Amino acid sequence: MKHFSSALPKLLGAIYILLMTCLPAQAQTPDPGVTGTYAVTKATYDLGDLAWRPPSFPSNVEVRGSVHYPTGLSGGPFPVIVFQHGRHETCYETADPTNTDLTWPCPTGWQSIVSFEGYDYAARQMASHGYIVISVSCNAINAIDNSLPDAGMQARGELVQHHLDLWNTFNTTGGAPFGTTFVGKLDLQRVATMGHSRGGEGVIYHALYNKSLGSPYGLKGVITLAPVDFFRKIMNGIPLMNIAPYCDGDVSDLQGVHFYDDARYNDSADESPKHNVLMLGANHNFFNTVWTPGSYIAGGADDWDDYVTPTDAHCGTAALSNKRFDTTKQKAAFLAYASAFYRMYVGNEKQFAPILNVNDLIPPATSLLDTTNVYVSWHPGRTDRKDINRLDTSTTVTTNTMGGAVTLSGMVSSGLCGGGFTIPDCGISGMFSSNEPHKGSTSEKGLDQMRLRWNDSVDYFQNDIPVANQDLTYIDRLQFRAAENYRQTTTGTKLNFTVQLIDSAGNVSSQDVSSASHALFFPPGSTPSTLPKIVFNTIQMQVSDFTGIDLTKVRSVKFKFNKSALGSILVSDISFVNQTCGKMNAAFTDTFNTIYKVQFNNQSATNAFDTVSWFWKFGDPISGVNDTSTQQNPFHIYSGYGTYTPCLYLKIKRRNGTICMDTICKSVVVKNHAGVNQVIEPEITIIPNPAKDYLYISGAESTDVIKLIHLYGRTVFTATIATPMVQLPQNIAAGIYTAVIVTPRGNVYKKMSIQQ
Amino acid sequence: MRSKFLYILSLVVLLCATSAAYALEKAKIKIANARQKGQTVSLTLSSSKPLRVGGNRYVLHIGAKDFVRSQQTKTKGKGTISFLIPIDEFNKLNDGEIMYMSYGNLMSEGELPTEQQLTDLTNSPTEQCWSLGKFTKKILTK
Repeated sequence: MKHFSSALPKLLGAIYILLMTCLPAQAQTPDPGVTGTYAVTKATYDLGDLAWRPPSFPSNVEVRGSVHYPTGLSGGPFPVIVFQHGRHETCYETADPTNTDLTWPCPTGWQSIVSFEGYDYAARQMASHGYIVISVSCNAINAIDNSLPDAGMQARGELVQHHLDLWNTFNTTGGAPFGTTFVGKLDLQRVATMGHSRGGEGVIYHALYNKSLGSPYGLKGVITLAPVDFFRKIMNGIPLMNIAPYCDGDVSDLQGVHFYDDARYNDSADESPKHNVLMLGANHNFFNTVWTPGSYIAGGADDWDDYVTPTDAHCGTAALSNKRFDTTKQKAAFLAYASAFYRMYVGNEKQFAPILNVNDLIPPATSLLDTTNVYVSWHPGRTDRKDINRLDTSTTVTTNTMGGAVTLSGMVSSGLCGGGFTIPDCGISGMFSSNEPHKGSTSEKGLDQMRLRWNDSVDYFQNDIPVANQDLTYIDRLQFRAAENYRQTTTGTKLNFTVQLIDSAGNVSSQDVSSASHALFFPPGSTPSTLPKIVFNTIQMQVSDFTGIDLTKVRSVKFKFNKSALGSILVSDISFVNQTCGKMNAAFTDTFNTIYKVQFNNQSATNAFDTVSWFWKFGDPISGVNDTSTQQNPFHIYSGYGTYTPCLYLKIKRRNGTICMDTICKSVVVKNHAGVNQVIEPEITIIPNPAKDYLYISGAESTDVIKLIHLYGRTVFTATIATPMVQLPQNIAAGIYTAVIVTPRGNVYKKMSIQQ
Repeated sequence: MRSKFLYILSLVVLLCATSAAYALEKAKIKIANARQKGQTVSLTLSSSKPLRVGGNRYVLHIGAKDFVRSQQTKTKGKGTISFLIPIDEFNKLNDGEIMYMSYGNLMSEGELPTEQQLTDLTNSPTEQCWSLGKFTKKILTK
């Protein structure tokens, strides 16, 4: 036992090293799923079961919802998120909650099922980060939508818009039931949505409807969660994230992948990124707590177990070693990825980009997922991408999108397939829609893709790069989407091949797909008509990892099938990723060293080949010229203890000459030798603000000094505070100043506006 | 004490077995009737247990033609679903065509399953597919 104990740390260490070596990337990205700093309040509103009639709907619907918001609402206006649930039973019998029905309004003796409250956990999370989150009820639409030609989709979109109109009123004049609580508190130019199931297609309809009305609300992002896509409407111009649960027992053909696929090249000016998140153990219902058995009084179901089979080796909960997420894990997974999306595209928190852009493959810790649970696809916006081969027309098998030659050598079989209309299907026999979610038909668009089957290590697929595009030193990444064709691959086999870059002198640099990505895997499960599924995921490689060649003259990108002896894959969207500013993100850490001294360490992300410069402003204008620095990791000795706001202004010059800048400011607490970090600020106040001729300073000692420091660092006025009333000279220019009260007890800083 | 434990254990086993059996018992679906109302034929199927209410749609396939507009009801542990078919489309259907109902689309639009696939899916316990035999316009008088 003693021997085991002493060996344990070494064993754990070895396992850790092994794991870290095997994983293609380290988790370096902040965790978006951590709860924010705001306390949260929930309220509901109900204007009646038949309060409003959507223009496209044959009957009136309820106007009912919930709102989660930062308690007290100080510091707004806050960005807004709207949730819309999907189709579910609408009512349950009070005396027997196992008896549910699809009718509206609920008859006497029955209660409405509150599907809209099933995302409260996510609403709380986003509200804690400073968002106002509204969730709307759609029971009236659910009750009759199947009988309508558009399945009630337009009405779903109109209902979201109606709620936003209502909140626009709450935000301007106020109104019942909230009075003036929310006046001025919503930023309706920063709005995002999430729709689950039919709500997913509903929020796509909403985005298009809002646009048709002249975009009165500024939509910054749309999440479709296990959505249907019956009518194949295409949304461009707004960031999209589709979440596809592999164990979906309801929308089991994961048709939401079409929202991503259809939008990719639909609008040549589209700058909005698209993401797809494949969650390998999630089902349809557990994202909503009201639809989850045991979490609500009526109507819950495990859609996979109850309607497909509980015995599937991967998705069935009765199978030994199944990989289904439990309810906690599924909600945590949604929370982390949705939070990353909203905070990045609505909150402009760029630090989460690596999670969504396939740059950091390790899931956030709060998601409770590991790398085998989740796979992300990313289609960058137009100017962030250089398409090598879209594989979207029959000519792209000979000439790629860039205009370079395409060579297929020695393949057992290959060809363009899957796109529907005139592009044939991929010839995979015995496949159902649920096995091939991306597939098209003679009347419906599918994902154009290249099928590649090999049986010899000399087989390859090569795309030549025209001279004008051969300089890759300002390209960040090479990426493509791919999936194993499980019908032509030995069960359980994880395929591998080599991606090669070849320069104009013939030098070759190689990277294994398996060392860069975990996305090429044999899809799990075995249930006729449903599993396995072919779902495309992004495989991405850093261009700077291809060493030993001249990256200014790369003439070919070659997929060489020399790793797995036999294999068959499907490939789409081969491109270079050239984000204007790449992965630039300003960041720093600070360490309090000795009295008043703080060491700053630059932690910014930049790209290979960038020329980087740093400009620091320590937020201590009283220190004069020492308040700034251009070092990478400077220190600063503060002029007193207290709380300061130092900023790092990061500037990069990219290889192509593009200049990019990013800024981060943080609060830093500076202590004195006694460990005191602040004076009691309320003791000292300065009025009026804005000021004109004088300042009235209360709480200061007669020996304290006031300084007015201009934004640019120049001290324009200094005076001893002999009396509370301090006259200002006539020659102080109007503008924003920092007023510093210098006291033996520490300095107090106030932002002041001076008027002429 | 021991007999009490065995009694409780047997109850638990019985409960698990019956609930598992219930969960695996697939709905039995058959054609109930077809009636014309104005320009619409309402083709009603009856189910031995309530039909599910979810994001996806039940689809009635007659040959290569799909029908998705429907109305569901349920009473006393049973269910019905009525597909709404425009009369002109109904009149274009051919007798003898394969007829089945699925939850969601099993095949891409315009594709037909093989007879073997249809048989296998109908016989599988998954609540996804039910063969309804061959179509005949005579059901309108049923």
